[in-house]
Amino acid sequence: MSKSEKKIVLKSLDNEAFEVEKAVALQSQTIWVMCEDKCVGNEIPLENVTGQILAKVIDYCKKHAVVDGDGDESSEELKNWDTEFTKNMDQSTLFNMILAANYLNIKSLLNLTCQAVADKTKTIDEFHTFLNIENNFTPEEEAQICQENLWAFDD
Amino acid sequence: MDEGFLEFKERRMREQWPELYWRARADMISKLPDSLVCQILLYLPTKEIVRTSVLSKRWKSLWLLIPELSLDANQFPNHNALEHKSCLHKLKLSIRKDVNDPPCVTRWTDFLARRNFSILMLSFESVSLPCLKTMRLEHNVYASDAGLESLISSCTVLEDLSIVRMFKDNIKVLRVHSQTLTSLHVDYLFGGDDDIDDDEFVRKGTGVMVDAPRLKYLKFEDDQSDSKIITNSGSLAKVNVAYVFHEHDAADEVDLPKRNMVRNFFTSISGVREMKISLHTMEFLDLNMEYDPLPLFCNLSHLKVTFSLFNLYLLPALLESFPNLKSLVFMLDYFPSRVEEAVARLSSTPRCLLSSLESVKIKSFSRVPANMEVARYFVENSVVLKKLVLNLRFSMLEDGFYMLRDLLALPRRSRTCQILLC
Repeated sequence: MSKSEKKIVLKSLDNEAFEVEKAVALQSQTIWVMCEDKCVGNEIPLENVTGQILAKVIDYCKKHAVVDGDGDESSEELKNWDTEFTKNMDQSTLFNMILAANYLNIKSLLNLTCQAVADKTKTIDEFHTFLNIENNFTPEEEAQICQENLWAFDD
Repeated sequence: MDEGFLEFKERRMREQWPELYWRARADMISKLPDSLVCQILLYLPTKEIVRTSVLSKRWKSLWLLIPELSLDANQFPNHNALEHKSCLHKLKLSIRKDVNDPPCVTRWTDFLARRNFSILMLSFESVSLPCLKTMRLEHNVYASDAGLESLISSCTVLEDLSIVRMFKDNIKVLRVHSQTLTSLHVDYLFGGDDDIDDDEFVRKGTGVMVDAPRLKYLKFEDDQSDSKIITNSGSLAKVNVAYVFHEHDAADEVDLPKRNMVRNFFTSISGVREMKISLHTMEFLDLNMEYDPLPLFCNLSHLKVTFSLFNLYLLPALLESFPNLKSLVFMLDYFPSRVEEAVARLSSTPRCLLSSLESVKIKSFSRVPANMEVARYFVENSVVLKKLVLNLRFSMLEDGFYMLRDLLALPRRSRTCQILLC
């Protein structure tokens, strides 16, 4: 296999191009299917992912590709790396990562980012503050819902 | 209104951010599709998942899409919400007698009975299920022998019980004590993942004990437990002896307690009117009957039995135990490669052939020597036989003509005997 065949170019929504090893990119089921079907050339346009997010996704895939290939690196170390990876991401980055992981179909990254959001919002109050969801219930409606599942609201 | 809710409401109001600030920040999570929101919720405790229902209108029933929940029946007395919308397939439910009123327990058990969960983890702390008539316990791990025993005994109107046990279910002796039970099925299944190591599986001391005076129907498929004891079996009418004993259980003159246990088991079921004996049980009887013949089953009128080529010689001896047998369904299980093997001629005439046996059906009949010998045996020796039904194997239809010719040529002991092919 020639050098060019081992590499693949991923192009983001905002036209940023990333050249990566094929093994790294193929962790994405979506890219894997595209390559299998030979429906794209060596350059794959990813119309739902910005360059900023794609760079992070590629970081994740590189780390996991190396470790998977090696087999020797401890899963403990990988776990720590994953924790560090999501630790300082802001809310908007995290959600964009979830959308990207979902679109690119990288299951482990999707699990990791969903877990990260859940970790930051362990309680309902945190849901309101962290996730900033606008409450569109009338007070009566809200009381009715609480009443239906009283136990969950009763500390 | 509940104080807890007011407190919650108050706290939320207290923490409400200024409205402008709220609008300035984007509500990212609401942009995610439901499936992704559920992915996130999966990582939250069940209580918090349910609490998301007050976030906004979109969130009101989102939590019902979560496939896994862990619930305490005490805190979640009303399962109506789960009834229609939920796609739950895994439920961990805890029910406690001291805190759950009986109607609540009944509501939950009804709910569980109607729904199919792929994984259900129930924790009972001595419940009583006073309305439950049918109970299926499949592949569960139990807290203790006593816990399962009291669960069964606490169902005071239970009629139909089915227990499918598994390796490592934490039960040494299964005790079924019920005054109301009429139908019992004891099964023992090895799942694909069960790696049975004979050294690890300790049979000694394991057992099944049934004490159910109104029991009418019993299907027994557990040959793993060491001892099987059935008491108060006076109502028993129908028994399927599929898997009860093992070659290890066959009479060994030294092990008298085991011999007694096996003998007592057959004696306890000897009042039945209908019985089905599997090939597995015939193989056991082949090893055992020489030492301990079966007791007389004086009420038995219908018998289904499967033999193999190796134990077919036992047919007359087996029939000796059923002096009033009226109808017999016979099946021969054999390897196709040994199909042409000749078999010993069946000769002795048990009592039922002289006075009661009116109907014999041979299933999967074909013109192989063993099947032909069985047909000959009944035609030539049954005094009151009215019909011999041969249920043909479909591939053997072309042989039918010659087979029938051979059978019709046999001298018939009973004048009224018809031979029917179907």
